[in-house]
Amino acid sequence: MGWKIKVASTSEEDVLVPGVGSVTPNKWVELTEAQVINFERKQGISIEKASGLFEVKDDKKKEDD
Amino acid sequence: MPAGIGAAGCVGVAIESTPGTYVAPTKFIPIRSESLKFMQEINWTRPIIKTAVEPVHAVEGPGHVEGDIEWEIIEDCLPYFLHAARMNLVKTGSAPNLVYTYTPAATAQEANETLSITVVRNDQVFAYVGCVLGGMTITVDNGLLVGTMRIMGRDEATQSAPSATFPQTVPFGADTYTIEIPAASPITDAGSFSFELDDSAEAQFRLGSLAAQYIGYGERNVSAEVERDFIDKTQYAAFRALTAQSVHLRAQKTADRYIDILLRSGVMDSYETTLEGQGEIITAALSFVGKYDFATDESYQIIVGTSEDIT
Repeated sequence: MGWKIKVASTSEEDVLVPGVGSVTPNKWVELTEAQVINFERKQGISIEKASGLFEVKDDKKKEDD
Repeated sequence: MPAGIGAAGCVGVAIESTPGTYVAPTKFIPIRSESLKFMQEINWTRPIIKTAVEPVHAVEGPGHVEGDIEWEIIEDCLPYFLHAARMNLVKTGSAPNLVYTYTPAATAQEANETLSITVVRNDQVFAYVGCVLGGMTITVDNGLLVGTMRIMGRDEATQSAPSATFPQTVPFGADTYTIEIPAASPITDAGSFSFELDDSAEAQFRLGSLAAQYIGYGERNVSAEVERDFIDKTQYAAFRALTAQSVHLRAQKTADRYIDILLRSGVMDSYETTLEGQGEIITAALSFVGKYDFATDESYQIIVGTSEDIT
């Protein structure tokens, strides 16, 4: 599906995102479809609406990243 | 919608730019438990209206937010709570090794900014605004550094659900502590340590709003308790003479990740050492009451070394 998230963090250490797992902050991280489903279930919101510490982008139109 | 369990909840904090105006959480705190609630005073009227002997009207009195957050302290989250306390802050160092030095302030309100604390319970969002630290207790519990933060705030409202992310910082364990009584003299016979701060926070109501206008502080009480093996009467003599001593706990994981608590001038108000039983090790329970130290102009100092950058 091509969803990616970037978690903002002022510290350099890995961050736990419920539904996704351990993530390096301040970098774009590709999510698998299973992670997207898990994320939506655990966070209680759809991935397009993820807000707060996340940036989300949908790369499904791109061939490669 | 089904019932929920605590594990699916979360607590997040953010520093407010305008006190009392909500800011979505920027830091999520792994907690053990929380008891934040909106306390509403109700004026029950009992007018004489010929037939009623029970309360007739429920009329809104002032409301405020109050509760505790109990958590295993990690150094990247602690500065958020201390930021909203009656403490002056000096921030030094450079990323990723920052040092936050907190010292007591003599102000009526928080010395820096207030916090918005967002609690999600069964997917429902409770957003508490204007929150400050009224007091705290930091103890070493079976080697784990645990804190209870006593929060007071102004109001609560519903906000949109935050997306939670959690630090994976490991809490402080049994191998991280150094205790010194007085400071610079390490001791190795202390079995327990506890630091308590109480700034006498009270919600202040002013005509014009139901919610508290601000949280005001009063007299400060700061203390430390240490239990040591009873070796000789040296410290007992200090207790009898009301000799002031400094009490210092350093919890340090690495050179740049630590929490340092220093009670500058503590006078013991109780010293208990008793024969408990044939097989019981004789220990001394020391209770230090912190007083103002003229040499440093403060009663305590807390230093946090972390990578967390708070502006």
